[in-house]
Amino acid sequence: MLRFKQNKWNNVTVAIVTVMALFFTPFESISAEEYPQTHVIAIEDLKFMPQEINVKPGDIVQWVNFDFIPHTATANDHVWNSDMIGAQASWEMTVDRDTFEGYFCVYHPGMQGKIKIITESLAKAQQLQ
Amino acid sequence: MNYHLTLIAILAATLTVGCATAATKTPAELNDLEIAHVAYIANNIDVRYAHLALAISDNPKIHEFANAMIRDHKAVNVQALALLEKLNATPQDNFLSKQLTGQSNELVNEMRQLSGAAFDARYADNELGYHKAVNDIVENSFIPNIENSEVKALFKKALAIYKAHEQHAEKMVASLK
Repeated sequence: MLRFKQNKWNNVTVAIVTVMALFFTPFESISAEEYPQTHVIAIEDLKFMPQEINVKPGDIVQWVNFDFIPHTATANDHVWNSDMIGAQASWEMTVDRDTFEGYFCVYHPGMQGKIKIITESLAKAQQLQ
Repeated sequence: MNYHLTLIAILAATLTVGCATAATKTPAELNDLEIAHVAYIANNIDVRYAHLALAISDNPKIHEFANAMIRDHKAVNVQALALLEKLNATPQDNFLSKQLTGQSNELVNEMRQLSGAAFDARYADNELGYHKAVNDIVENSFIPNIENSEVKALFKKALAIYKAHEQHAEKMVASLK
């Protein structure tokens, strides 16, 4: 089951989330102990950043659109779909074990991202390596 | 007639012989306000093509692309107008804006005579060629010569959008073959 939520962001929040998205997200994707985690993906200059993230079932993935044109985050098989994420707006979903890994922007099909689902056993195995 | 090739040919001819005519400029010689005018016109032209496509075509891929063009090109113009207002500046009409407008009028008259697959192919082909031609001018003639840093930054943002459109148009053209 997926839970969706769309938000409108003020400038201060946008600035804070930009820093989070650009500097912290890649490092906390699978290593932090807190559960569930929120993973922020910035949409800027028609790119999903980071382009690929690792998540666990139950985590929250949040897309924040910093472009002045609208975008979508849509599973390649259309199992989940944000619909339009307007400028300075965000959308989030809770990761289900069945959530499809590849996604794209319906309006700009060249924009593509990947959400890799890491199960508990796989995450522990990676931490032991 | 292939209009995007015509556009390139006219621009090339202008570059070649423009220096001989004092009143004629090349795209690279336009000032910031003239460049802003060209961009505003070019955005509106593609919005016009998109509305024509929505009216004539029944193809969902064409509709999807056309709706994206309307959303994005209008958004770029909203940003451009806001910046010009902030700078207390007024765009200046020029030879290139006039050429683009004249060509678009001819193309709209041509395309409105078409229907079905013939229209879809013509629209898709023109969108690919139009974005290629405009992207080349924006990247190689406009951006290097824009003096105002805020205007230059907006054009760089817009170019990223237009390049995504070009990629999208390539896929649209391929899907129709």
